[in-house]
Amino acid sequence: MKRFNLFMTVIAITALSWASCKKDAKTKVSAGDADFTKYVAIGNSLTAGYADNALYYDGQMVAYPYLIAQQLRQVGGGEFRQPLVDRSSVGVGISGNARLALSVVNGALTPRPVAPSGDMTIFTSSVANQGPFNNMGVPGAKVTTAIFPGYGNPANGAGNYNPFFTRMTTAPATASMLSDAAAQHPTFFTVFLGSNDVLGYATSGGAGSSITPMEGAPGIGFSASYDALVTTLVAGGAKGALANIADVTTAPFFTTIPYNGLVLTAQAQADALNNAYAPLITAGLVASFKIGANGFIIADADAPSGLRQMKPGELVLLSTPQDSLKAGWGSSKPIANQYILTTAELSQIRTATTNFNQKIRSVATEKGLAYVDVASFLQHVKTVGVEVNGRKIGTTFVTGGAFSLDGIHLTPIGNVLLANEFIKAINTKYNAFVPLVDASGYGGVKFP
Amino acid sequence: MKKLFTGFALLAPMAVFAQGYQLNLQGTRQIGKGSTGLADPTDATAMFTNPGSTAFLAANDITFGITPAFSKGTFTDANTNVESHSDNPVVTPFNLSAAYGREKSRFKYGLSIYTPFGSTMRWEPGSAGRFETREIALLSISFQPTVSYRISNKLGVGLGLVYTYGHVQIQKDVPVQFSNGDFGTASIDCRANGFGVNAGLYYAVTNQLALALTYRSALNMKTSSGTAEFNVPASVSGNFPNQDVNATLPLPQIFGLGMTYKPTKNWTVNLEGYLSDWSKYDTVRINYETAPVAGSMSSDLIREYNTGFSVRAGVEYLSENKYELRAGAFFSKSPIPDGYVNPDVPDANRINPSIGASYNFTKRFRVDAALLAEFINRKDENIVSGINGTYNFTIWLPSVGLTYKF
Repeated sequence: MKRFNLFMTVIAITALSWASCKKDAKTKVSAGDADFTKYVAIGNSLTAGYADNALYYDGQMVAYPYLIAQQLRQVGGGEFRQPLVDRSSVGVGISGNARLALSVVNGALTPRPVAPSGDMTIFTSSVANQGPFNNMGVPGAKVTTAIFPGYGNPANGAGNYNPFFTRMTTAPATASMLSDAAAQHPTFFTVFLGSNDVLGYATSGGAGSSITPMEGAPGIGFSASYDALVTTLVAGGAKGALANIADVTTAPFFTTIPYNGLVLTAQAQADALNNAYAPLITAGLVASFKIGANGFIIADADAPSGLRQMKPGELVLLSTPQDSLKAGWGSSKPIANQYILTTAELSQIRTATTNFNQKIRSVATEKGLAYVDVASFLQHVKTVGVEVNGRKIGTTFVTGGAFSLDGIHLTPIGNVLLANEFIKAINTKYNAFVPLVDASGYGGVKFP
Repeated sequence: MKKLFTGFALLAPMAVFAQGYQLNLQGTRQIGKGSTGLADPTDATAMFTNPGSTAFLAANDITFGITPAFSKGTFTDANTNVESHSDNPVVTPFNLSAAYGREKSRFKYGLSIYTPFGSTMRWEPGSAGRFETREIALLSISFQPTVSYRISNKLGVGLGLVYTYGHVQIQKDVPVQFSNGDFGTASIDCRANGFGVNAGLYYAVTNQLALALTYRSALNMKTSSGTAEFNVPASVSGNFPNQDVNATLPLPQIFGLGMTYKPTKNWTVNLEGYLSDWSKYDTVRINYETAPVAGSMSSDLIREYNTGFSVRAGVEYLSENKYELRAGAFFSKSPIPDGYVNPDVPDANRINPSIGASYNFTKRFRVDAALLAEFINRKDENIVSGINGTYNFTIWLPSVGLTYKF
């Protein structure tokens, strides 16, 4: 009997330990207070899955709203249609270019277009009959243009319509992004707009399109346009998430080339430049050149004689032609204004970004929507980096992992991180548990 | 002996994570009674459990035991609910011990060969922890020549010199992608060795009660040869140069305190405790010998282990006939602190139950069998890698032993 009891005890211990080990470790998924049956995402190129300076299939398949939609399927989400381009296409960018890929040029890894020109058939062949599309991300869209009827109307003339929208709407002449989104009666939506309302200005070095003003009628002012957008989307009782916009300096497009990237290796070079810029040096607009890092010489219409030296905090854009830099831009010749963000321009950009984000946050609060703080998140990725299951992701160009080869749009892993920020905000706001996207299969920039 | 060793070395990579990497599989009889036996010498495996008790063995014997480990597990990511599976190859820790002393001699001499530490973890491709560990195989084998001396009829001391050889292979994915989307890979292969001692005291208080104290010294396993190989895209291969590496793996010192009580002629009860001092196991630094890898001259595995302990109990029933029965369990406190659990050794506090039996075919020949089960369940968020989720492992360890007395 003693022996029997003993063995029963051992069996009981075994069963108990086994049971504790076998219990399901998964967290129960839940839609919480939200209804994810029909999810529609409104946004710009980031929402469309634009990456490596083009809209192309692989980028669309990792677009953050697409990744979110895959997770929503576990909590009642439905199909998520996208205006896909052909899988084999080289893609097309805003300037008709093909997507970028890294290649080795003169021994150095360099982003190069994979074809001499982009796939223009993307613009000429409509995919609208495959819609309506849950992904209403349109490259180039602003808050003001998202509500603009006829945004895809070629009759408006070049520059006054968006061919990325033309290809995906059944009514190019009359539809707006918002009307096509609202017509689907989403039960859940995300809005990630506003970057282009500053970025158009920023990416042209302050020389191109202007920053959207806060005030003004819908279609002109940021505030009224954003209100119009969200009011329409929530009209049918839909819930959603609004994302704010990041500071420009989180994107490597603005931070890769340092302001003092003029590196001199010989005293003779310094002497020659000191000689050439002697009057400006005397005037205090240029510091004496020395061996090592020196601020670039840039064009600035406000400076006497139209040029000066760059100051710390000012930004050189990644679009600055590298061969021109080698040929003397920034030293013997000034870098053109369109490649530079000066302190004054940055201040305007920052003010606008702050105002836009305040507006987005107040709308989220007012309408009871989730607020996705993309700005804080990207700032964290930039300054600290995120550990994603043993790999560090940062914002450094190419090696950081988060940003694609255009320095503005995200890589697959960058999209995963962004999608997860949305999901976290949604889970918190709506008491849901939508599992995050598993990052383990997603990468950054691909290497030859 | 040389030939035997090579043969078993191939069998030897192990899949058990008792207290980190520490195995406690040095005797089938001990396994059956909760891995106890400090004050309960049963056969030549006593040289491992307590060299001080070996001189009290009634006979000379040679004993061989093998304990295949069947381990399987799952990691469930707390954020994504995605499961990663680990289906580990069946591997076989073993022990081979022979102890000899002339009749009436107070001395016994012997050699014990065993596998003190080990683990093999093989995660499925694409698992959550792929950039930390895809597969790690740690194999070790110890040779312990031993002298045991019976000071009196009550007191015995023993000392074994331990030479341990180890072989570690680590494979992981490198977060650099080829054009086709595949990730790069890294493999690190190190062979190492170290010397230590295994010492013990045995004191028979009465015919019914015995006490024991043992000490196994720390082992500083230094690499004798090590290589790192990388498979990465050609354009970045300059950042990942293949080269020799070196490292030191500080394995713990272990203290054991045990008691054996025999209430009747047939029954034996063992109670004991172990302390494993893993405090030196903080950061395992793999040094690159020639050139930096991704800008760094070393790769650090941050572990920060603490002291682990184990409390064990076992009972044994020796029949008047030829059979013996035993059972036991041990509780192990994991040396891995919260925030440092890794997919290479997902250890946890746990209770390991065991049962065992023996049959004495003749006075000289005995067959032992035992079954040990280990269940690991641990939820942790690694503060270094960010890996966050629950590890669930089940390990079944059937053991078979043969003993021949002479």
